[in-house]
Amino acid sequence: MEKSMQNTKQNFTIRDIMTIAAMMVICFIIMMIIAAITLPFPIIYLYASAGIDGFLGAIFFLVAANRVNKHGLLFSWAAIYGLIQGIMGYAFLIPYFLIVASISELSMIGKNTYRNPIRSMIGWTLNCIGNFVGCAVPLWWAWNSYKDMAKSSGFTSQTLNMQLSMVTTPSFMLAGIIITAALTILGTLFGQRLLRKHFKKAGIVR
Amino acid sequence: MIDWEKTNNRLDKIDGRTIFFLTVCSCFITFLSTSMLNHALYTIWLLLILCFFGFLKQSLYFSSFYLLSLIGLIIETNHNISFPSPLLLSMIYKLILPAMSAYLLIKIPSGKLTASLRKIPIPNKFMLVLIVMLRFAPTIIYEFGEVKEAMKIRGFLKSFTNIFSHPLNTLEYAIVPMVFRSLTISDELAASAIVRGIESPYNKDSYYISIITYIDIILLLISTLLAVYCCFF
Amino acid sequence: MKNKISIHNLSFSYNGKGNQLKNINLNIHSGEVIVLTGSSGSGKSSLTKVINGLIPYFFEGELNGKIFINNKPLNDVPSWQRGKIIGNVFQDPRSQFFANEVAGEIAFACENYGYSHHEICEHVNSSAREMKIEKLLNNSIHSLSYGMRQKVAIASAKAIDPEIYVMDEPSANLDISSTYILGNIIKDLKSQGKTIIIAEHRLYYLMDIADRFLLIQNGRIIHEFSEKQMINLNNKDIYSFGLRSPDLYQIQYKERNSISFDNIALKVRNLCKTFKNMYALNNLNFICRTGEVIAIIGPNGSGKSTLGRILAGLLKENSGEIFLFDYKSKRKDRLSKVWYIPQDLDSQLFGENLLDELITGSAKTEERIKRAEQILSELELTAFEKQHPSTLSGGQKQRLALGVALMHDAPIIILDEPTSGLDGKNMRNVSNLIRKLANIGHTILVITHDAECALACCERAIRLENGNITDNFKITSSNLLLEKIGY
Repeated sequence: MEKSMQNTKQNFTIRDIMTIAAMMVICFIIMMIIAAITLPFPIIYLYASAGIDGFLGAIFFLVAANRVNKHGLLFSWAAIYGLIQGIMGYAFLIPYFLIVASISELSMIGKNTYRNPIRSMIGWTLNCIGNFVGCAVPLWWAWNSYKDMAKSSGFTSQTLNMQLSMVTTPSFMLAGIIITAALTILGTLFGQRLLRKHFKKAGIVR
Repeated sequence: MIDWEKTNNRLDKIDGRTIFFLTVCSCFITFLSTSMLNHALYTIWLLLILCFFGFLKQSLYFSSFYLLSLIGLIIETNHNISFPSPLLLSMIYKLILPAMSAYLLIKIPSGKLTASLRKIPIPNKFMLVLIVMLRFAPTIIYEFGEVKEAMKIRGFLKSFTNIFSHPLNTLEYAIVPMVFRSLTISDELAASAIVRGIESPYNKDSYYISIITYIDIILLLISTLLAVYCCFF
Repeated sequence: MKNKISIHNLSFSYNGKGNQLKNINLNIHSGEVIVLTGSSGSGKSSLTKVINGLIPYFFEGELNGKIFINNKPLNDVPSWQRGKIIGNVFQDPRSQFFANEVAGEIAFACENYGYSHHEICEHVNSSAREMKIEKLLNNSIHSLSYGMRQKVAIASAKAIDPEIYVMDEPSANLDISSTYILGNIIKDLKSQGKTIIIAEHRLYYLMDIADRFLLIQNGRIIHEFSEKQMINLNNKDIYSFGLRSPDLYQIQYKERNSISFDNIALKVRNLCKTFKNMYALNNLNFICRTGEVIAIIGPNGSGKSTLGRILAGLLKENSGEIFLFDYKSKRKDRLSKVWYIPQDLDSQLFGENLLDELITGSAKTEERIKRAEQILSELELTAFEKQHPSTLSGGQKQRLALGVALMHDAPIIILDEPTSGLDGKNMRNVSNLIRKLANIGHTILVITHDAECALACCERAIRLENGNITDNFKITSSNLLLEKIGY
């Protein structure tokens, strides 16, 4: 009995799967609310929504990470995120999200890294930066159809260019990445605080 | 009792994979098609499908939203208006198409969807997380309501200044009970699934039918052809 | 009769948390109905979990001793296979369901055990037919009442046709009529020769069904009663064992006519609430005097919780007026004055420890901390002051929730099912506390289908059915209340 328990420890148990699913659902519902609020403001949507997602998601990710503490968690999390994004419309981004998932998971190599505050912060931040870049893609795409429309109806090229620069200039993208990373790191700090204050104290995560 | 032969509900007869494929198709169209006309063409096709399954009212909503955002976009671009953002409008009208097929996907009983999903080659563990997430969504939304109510009682949501002067506290009040509740539920659900053999190694069949019938084939065929046309011509 | 289940020298401890079960020896015969009872945390739930295999597979810990089912060691049966022999029904009708639709839920175990589509349909349909829920197969589980959900849970267990059923507090969230229906279902299962093990606080509905009652305390089986011995237990024994009454008619009601306050705290006039053009509350009129404790009774879905939420300002009424201390009140004014404590307390706890729970949300002044400490000591919670609120037991949480209401000086308190899932001792504790608060001038409405609680603390009862007040009466005897509540 003891031995078989030891072996299964490396695989996700049903409880682990349920924990991950529960935390991801909360995350997704929050993300949808944030997307709905920020969508009318393209600048915020583009630069900050991935960061806000990362900030709030960090708490739920940390709960799952500390509870499950098994490799493959971040990969599954990011891959499922990508898969759902795929089903919801960005199908061609699935391979991209799988790469993000692999890189994030690779950053977690080592023993007990999921319970290590610094390591889980790094992993989660990488994942969120990946999501940020991924999220910018649909905007480029929306841009194209909008541009066609605008051109055909005599929109001033000046306004057009200003908006285009927002999505295509590398320095702006870099700014976005920095904003995302900063928010995400703050999120993991806040998450660690909640872990200590509530969840570890109550004994539901170790 | 569900009598599969006599059911009037066409959605009960359809295979989950067909709807799934339809969703993927509409996603591709919405992202790859460069012509507005083609996009509109596929939207009309989906409206027809919605009507076929008996969602007349919903298809009316979808089409009016589609038209409104499209007209709004045309007006804005012609008159140089930038609020609400034309980018937003162009996003809305494009997202209505996948939203319609996603709506059909939601309307399928989750057990049936599960059965269909099992036949798509995705690793079992991922599948299970997806299935459990489907199960959790209504519960979590319900729990959000409970927590919001509790926060109201305590006066945490009394005023804007109350919420925004201590945003982190407000966040903590919202998140902590949510996490506690959902971890309890997820543990109980896991226990209830384990004692009913979720870990058994058998091949799993379903209560719900997932067989491709001639309706599926017709739908699949037209959808594919139309999708190819809309993307490339 | 042959032994169905036999347990030898069983002990169990959660990792390092002391023994949950100590030296249990038990033989259960084929076709027997066994009720495990005892106070919360006594180990009765743990014993059911040992039998269905969740201990130690899911709840890890140290398990010693031997269990045989049909003379076969349980250890030899892989955990995933046990579900074929043992059907399970759990307590919470919200968290034990895996599917969103009834049919999928009933089919769940059959699907897992590799039945063909055809077999699954047969099993599901026949199980649903026997439970008389065949019309609901297409419905969403979330739209069903708790009573119906429990039926679905049993149908789901039944679909596999196991020889043994294990139920963990199956009646905790049910109203009276659903509880009796549950009793009849268990009786049916028994007549089919099934072996049934039930861990339960409420005993009255099992009296003519169970063969043996096992009293568990501190992880040991300390008594075994036959039905006759159980019914003959006097109130003193019942209280000292911390049990609920096996015969509700035996509860004595002490009449309370000590309304020392006679100003009107709450007046409801022509209150109406509709949901989707259906009346949830239809033209309600009643008053509550200061210091009164009123039971709101009636079947599930009769509008009790809706009434509570409207009074507390969480929902808006469609028409009608609500007066608090003679002043007509708007919804927002009621929010802090009428305090609503819902049934599920987990979503109510925000603090990092009990003291923080009381003072969180406003300034931590010296004065408030003092007041909070005083409240904790009045509620006998001081010993747990440093603990996280979520680690408390059900009864303690209920007391803490009342403490929060006290901290906010709410003159009117509404409790929604405060005693569901509580054992006898905790139920009496909470009831006494409610009494105590009423005596210092709080007006309290208790929404409940727990007759024992209503008899222990309420002096008047308002009965709702389909959104109408059908009765509004002073409780003069236990028989009167029991009759109105539907025993």
